Amino acid sequence: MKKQLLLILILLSALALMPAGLALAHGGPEIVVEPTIVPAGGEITITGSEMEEGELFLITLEGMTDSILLGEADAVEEGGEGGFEVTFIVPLDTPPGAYTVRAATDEETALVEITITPPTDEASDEPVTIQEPSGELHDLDRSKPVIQVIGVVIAALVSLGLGFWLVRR
Amino acid sequence: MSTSIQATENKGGQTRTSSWLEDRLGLSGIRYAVPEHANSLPYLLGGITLFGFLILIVTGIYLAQFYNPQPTAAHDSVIYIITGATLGDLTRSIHFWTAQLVTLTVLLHLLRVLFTGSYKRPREINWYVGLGLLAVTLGLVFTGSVLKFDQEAVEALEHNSEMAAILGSLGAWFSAEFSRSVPLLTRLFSGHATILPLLFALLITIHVYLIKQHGISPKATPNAETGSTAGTGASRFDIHLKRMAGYGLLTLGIVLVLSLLFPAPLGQPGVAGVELTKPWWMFLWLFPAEAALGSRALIIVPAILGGLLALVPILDRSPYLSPKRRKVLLGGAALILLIIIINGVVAWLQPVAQHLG
Repeated sequence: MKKQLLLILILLSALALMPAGLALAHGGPEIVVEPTIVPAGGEITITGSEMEEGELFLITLEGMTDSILLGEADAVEEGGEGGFEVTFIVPLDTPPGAYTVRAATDEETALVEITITPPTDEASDEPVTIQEPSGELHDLDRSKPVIQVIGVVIAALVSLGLGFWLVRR
Repeated sequence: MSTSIQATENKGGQTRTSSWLEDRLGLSGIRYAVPEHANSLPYLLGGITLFGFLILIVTGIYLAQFYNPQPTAAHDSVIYIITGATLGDLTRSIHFWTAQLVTLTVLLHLLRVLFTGSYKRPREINWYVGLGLLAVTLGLVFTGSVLKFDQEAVEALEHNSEMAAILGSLGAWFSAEFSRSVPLLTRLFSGHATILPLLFALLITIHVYLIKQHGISPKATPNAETGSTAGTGASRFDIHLKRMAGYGLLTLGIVLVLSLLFPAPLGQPGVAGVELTKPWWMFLWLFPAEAALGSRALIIVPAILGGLLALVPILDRSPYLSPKRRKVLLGGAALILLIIIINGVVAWLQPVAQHLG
């Protein structure tokens, strides 16, 4: 019994400590990119947080085959921690596809995935409208044809009836 | 008349058709003995779950014909499924509601196994296989919830990325950095549609094989002891299968009614960097822990819970099945369950909070 208790304590300690150890990797810089879907030639705003004041970050846009340097950003003091907000234009000749925005110093990196779409006429002239976030549901027309409703009702009744019959056999 | 009967029936009373099928499929092989209690609802929860997975596979294959896993098109393709694809809204709702019910039956199945001591010798390995199936099921639910790419999905995806960062190299596959050629959403879709279903198929095959090997666990009567029941009992497996199909069809009927009355929800297109929604009910109970400990709670708490579940067959090695003879273990389990439920209720009542970043 004592051996079992010891084993349990060791396992529980290991379980409790494992994520804590792994969590050391966390706490580094973080970035948010708006918008995450942008046409080539459009504008993106990168907001950094959890950074050391004075840190200089190189901002790159990394695609499948190459990496584009967008610019630099200095972390400044913001409410007890360092951060930045910078705006860049995605080069008009950037091929559409999935990209990673990387903000990196020699020691730290923050990443966000974005998607570049083909350029639009307005993209090079006007900033892209950033969509307002919303927790509301889509107001879509969910009405169904009468025949579909009747079909589903019949299918449900047959399924329930057959189910009851099989369960009671 | 007698010639006609002889033409369609053989000496054993079988029709020609069933005799033909018997020769080729050997269906009489499934008429082996199983205990009578195997046909009761608590012992059929696993079978109902399996039936639910069949519904999920069929509806999932159909939905995959219209879903576009590229981040630029994902949300719009879900709108198309709802508004444009033939039977798309209904199929998506069936998929959604079946996933909800399957998660519920998986969890109830786990509690039944725990309550009746069905993890005891010789079924310990099957307990671990079952825990693997639980993890795969929750993985399927999580990846499925992300695919719609609405606000709730984007927030889930951000939690996914944050957990990947916490896990470091262990969570590499879940990070955007893992592949430059395929977006994370697309890879999560491949996880949802190929990797996890294949893992599920492998684990469920082992699960069913081990149940066949050891039989269903004995009924947890006051003096019952664990042991094999393979090939013994007053009922037959074909009757068990019919009962399983019956409950499965009842589930399908309920899902159809729910799908008609309450179509699967879809939020507005997701925007990163804010938290405006709450996770689905199976993850909601983690909300207070995340508020207190940050994103690493999403790893620590499930890891501790999974570790405790893994310890169950090691802790409780007595041969007795009756809950009355396992009060300490079941008391502890009940306490944990109560904490989970209270956390869920608290999270449900709490306003949405910003955890990320």
